[in-house]
Amino acid sequence: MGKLRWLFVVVVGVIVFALLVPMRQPITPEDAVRKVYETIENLPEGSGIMLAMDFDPQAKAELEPISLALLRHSLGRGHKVIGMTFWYTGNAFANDLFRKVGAEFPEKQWGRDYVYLGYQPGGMAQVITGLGENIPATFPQDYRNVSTAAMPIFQEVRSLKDVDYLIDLAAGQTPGGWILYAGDKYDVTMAVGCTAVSGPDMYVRLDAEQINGLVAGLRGAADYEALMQRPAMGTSGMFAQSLIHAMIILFVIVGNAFYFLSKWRKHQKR
Amino acid sequence: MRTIRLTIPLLLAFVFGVFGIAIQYTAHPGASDAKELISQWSIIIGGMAWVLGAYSLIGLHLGKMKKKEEGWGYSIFFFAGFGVVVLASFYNGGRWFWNAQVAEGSLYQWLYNALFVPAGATMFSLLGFFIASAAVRTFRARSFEATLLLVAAMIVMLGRVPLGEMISGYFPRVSDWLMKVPNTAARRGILMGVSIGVIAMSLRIIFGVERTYLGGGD
Repeated sequence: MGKLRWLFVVVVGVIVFALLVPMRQPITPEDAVRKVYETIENLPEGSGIMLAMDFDPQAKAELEPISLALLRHSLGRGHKVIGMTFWYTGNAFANDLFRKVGAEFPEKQWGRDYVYLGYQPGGMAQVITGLGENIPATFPQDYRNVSTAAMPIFQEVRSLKDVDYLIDLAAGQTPGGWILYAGDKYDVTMAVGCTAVSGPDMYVRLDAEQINGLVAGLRGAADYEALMQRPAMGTSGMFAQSLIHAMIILFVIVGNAFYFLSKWRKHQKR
Repeated sequence: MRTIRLTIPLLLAFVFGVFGIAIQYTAHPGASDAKELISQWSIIIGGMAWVLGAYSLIGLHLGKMKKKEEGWGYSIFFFAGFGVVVLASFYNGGRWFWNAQVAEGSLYQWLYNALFVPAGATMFSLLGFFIASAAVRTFRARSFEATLLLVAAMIVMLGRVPLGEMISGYFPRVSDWLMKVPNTAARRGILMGVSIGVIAMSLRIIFGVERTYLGGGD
């Protein structure tokens, strides 16, 4: 632990330095991120977009910038945005994000242009099937405890069949459920926003065209911000991420150098 | 007793299992109504699970404290945290718990924003330190396979950040290929295996072959 303590101090030092002295780096957006951006960009104004906010504050660093970018883009393009979550612990956090972005668009109204429905227990299969039949019946009240039945947004987007684009912002395994019960069953075009760790799992879905785009990790957020030409949290974290990745690679090289050196010494002794 | 504990649950699993599959393949409007009704029932039953979960958790910690099992002191923290959060959410800043929306400026909102959010983010950020420690101590090129994995990991790590792109345009391209080809191939195999397993397990439950979900006893 003694030597590791210094290692951790170096990690903290590098991160603090990179965040305090940011350096602009070129960002070339990935195709998978571009697909999400283009889908939202090319949908006719007033299309229904559902954001499943399936994460909690643990994944804040990665999924908050992705959520903010997607919300800003969708509302900016004049789409109807509906949010919900399967993660109870992220419920209040997701509502804060909707409220924060909603405040940036004073002309948009809660219940008419966007709404955050909150959490619903009962399991993914049952809740998504309910959404596929009738969204207000599945969520009789929104997060603010207001009846959804009379909300103008649900006159246009009544069920999943009326949703033009569904994006699952996930810190866990929820994309599988959404793809199975919403994407495949109701033929909703889907995309996934996830943590960098979950990213590799999603390439299978991308390849099978079960999702048309993927925004993974802080890099995904930075790519999306680059496409929107609106640098924010994702872009500002890229320098820190670059330095940390480089540092870990250096650690691996140094660790292996010592490993081979000790092996060589043992060999010499024999 | 056997009828209540075994026969009826097995019968319910069979009826709802077969009915659940059948309505997915029926275009009749009655099937759509049935789906909506069943999904609403499930949501109500799911809500009951919270009560059961809390009961079970309290029972577990009480048992630990009574028997003075190793680490029983942590149970005190559980009850303190659980009690404060439950009371704060029930009171909900004077608006009480029947108003589902969290009241602005309430103690519950403060606990969530000032404790839960930063504590959660901190827990996840510790991952960076684990990786740094693992990089020095365990990522060793001990065999051909381990070397291959190590090199692939380094390429992906560089390819995923702008720095890699600044060093060479090949890093993002090779990283992309690694993710799209070898990674996808391996994941697809795992996913298909798991999916077949899920189908088999579902059929075993529907036809009463798999009974472990009924709990202990006969």
